[in-house]
Amino acid sequence: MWNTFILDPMLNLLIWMYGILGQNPILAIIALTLIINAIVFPLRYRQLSSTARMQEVQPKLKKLQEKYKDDPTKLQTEMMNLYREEGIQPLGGCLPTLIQLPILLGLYQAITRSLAQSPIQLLELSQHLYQVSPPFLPNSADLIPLDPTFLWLNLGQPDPTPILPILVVVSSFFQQRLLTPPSTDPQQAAMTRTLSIVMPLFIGYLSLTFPSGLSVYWVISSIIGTIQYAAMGRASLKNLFGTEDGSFSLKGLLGLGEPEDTSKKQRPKSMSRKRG
Amino acid sequence: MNRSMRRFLLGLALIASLSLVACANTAAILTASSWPGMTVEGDTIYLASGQRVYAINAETTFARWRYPLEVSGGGGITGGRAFYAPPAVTEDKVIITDFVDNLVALDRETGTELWIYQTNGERSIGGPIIEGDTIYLGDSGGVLHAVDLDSGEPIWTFAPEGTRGIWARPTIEDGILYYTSLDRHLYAVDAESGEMLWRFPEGDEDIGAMAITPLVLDGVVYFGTFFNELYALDLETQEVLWTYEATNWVWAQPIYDAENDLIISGDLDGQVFALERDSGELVWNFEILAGQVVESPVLVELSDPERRLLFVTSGTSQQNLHLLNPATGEPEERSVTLEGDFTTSFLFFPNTSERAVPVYTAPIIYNNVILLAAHQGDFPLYALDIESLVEAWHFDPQPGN
Repeated sequence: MWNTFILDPMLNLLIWMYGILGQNPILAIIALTLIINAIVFPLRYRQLSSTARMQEVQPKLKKLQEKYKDDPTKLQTEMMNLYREEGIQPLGGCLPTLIQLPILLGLYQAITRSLAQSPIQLLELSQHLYQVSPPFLPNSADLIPLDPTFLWLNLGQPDPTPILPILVVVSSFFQQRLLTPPSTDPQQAAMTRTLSIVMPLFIGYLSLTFPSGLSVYWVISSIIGTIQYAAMGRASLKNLFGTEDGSFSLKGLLGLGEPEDTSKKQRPKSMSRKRG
Repeated sequence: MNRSMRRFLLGLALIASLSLVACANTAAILTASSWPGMTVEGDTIYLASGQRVYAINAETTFARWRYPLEVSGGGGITGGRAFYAPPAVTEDKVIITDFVDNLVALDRETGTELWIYQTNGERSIGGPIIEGDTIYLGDSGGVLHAVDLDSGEPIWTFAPEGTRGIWARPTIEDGILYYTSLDRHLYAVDAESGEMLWRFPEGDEDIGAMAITPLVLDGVVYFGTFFNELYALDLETQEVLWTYEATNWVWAQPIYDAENDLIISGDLDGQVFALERDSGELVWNFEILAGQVVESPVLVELSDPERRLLFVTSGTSQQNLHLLNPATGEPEERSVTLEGDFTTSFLFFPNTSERAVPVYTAPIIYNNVILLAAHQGDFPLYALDIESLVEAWHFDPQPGN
């Protein structure tokens, strides 16, 4: 089921892209990443809308928690009432994320498998190729094996230079910082700061050992993700630099400054919803 | 539990299962790289399998030596040294390649390292051949190397423009090296000078990538392509004598059956086929269900002089050895399923189970046994009695054996 509905379509789509785009592996990876991100965009939008709505009702939620701290049953009921009044589905933000997960895993597998670098990988790949292609597309099997070289890179092997790992770290760091609003809760703010540094470093570490084709995917994915969120009005220089007016601050960029109370300024116009 | 919650949990379970399947698939592709390589010289079996090369005494079934003594890192494509190419053996040396970029000469008696030649970060997948005092090998970057057998010093390298990986061993005939490349060409190179004599095709024609060791026979070279074709090419004129269209990639080196005057090979759809040598006309074919033929079939003369058999490994984990009549392609015996032990661990608890062993490597006949190198499982080598096809012994790679 996994191969039929997720892996094989993505794998063959990647190979067709390679054939259409002048047998350039980087362009093929970029095209596939764009297509997949466009497909999961409605899910991302729903996820983000849900998260934004949840942030909006946080003050009310806090008040309820204080009011009914000794009566958990009542608290639960009031919380559900609040969600209903505000038109929020409490788990609505999780489902789109979970649905995206297998799609992104499929994309990851399609990239690694298409860049087969050993006999067993090539044998594996041969089992996933469509024998017949639509008339306007090249035959997948005729394009195998893909040429994995681009500039100094062999996309099936790790980058021998630190260039791609650095790009991976920088792009995912900026994505995280641009998209994560500063929290008013000092504990949560500290955790967010740590995560926004540790996660990019972790992905950068992985990119030292994983095929560089994947690193290209990570960089492109971060850039596309940032652009998508910016188009939705969610990316903000204020988030990036931790300043009220979005002006440059190195301390804020590295998360070394004190978090500012920006909770009142966090509601982007595009996400606001009239309450009925 | 309300309806939306039930739907959510159902969706969650479905996605979690899909993710688990995906993760399992990912693990599988990172660990496997190739199938074992095997050579027999005298009474010793030289087996390149995973993280080690073994010299196994075929009489006692114990290892004379193993290389390297210490292993580190994973044996797959992502790390550590792994050995898959069949070793080349001389009177006093064993020449091996690893899956990093090392060509290594070992002392044949002791397994001691004599010298190392490196292929500039590109691994040699097909392995070396030896002619006289020179070793020839191709690498995954598309460079053909000639290396001095005694010193490990390079003699020449050859890398045409636009070259891609060389995944199979070259063949040498009358001082000319013939090899195929993923760059979709067959090359003929002077073994002495490293100069290209010709390549096929010469123009823009695309015949598909190739990862096959060509068969050279009486002025004709036979080779298969990933465009599902087997070619017979005249060496003098580079004229195509005939082509045979298979059903999938032709990766297995063809063999010649002199008695029936047939060229025999197989493809990744599990088709074994025999062609008339002169015309390329199909004489017979035999389908191995769910199998992949990636290495040469082997012709065996049994003690009964009337009885000749074609042994084919299929790569599948079921019915991993097939025995055919080379004249007709009819199965002579029922196919054999070699079973072996597989030890896995779950939450630190090891568990051993017995199941069919996948075998890709071409079998080798030694005295009265047929040697099968296993792609997976606890034991890398099995020996079956050639008459009864019952397991005679297996090689246990644990130290002390």
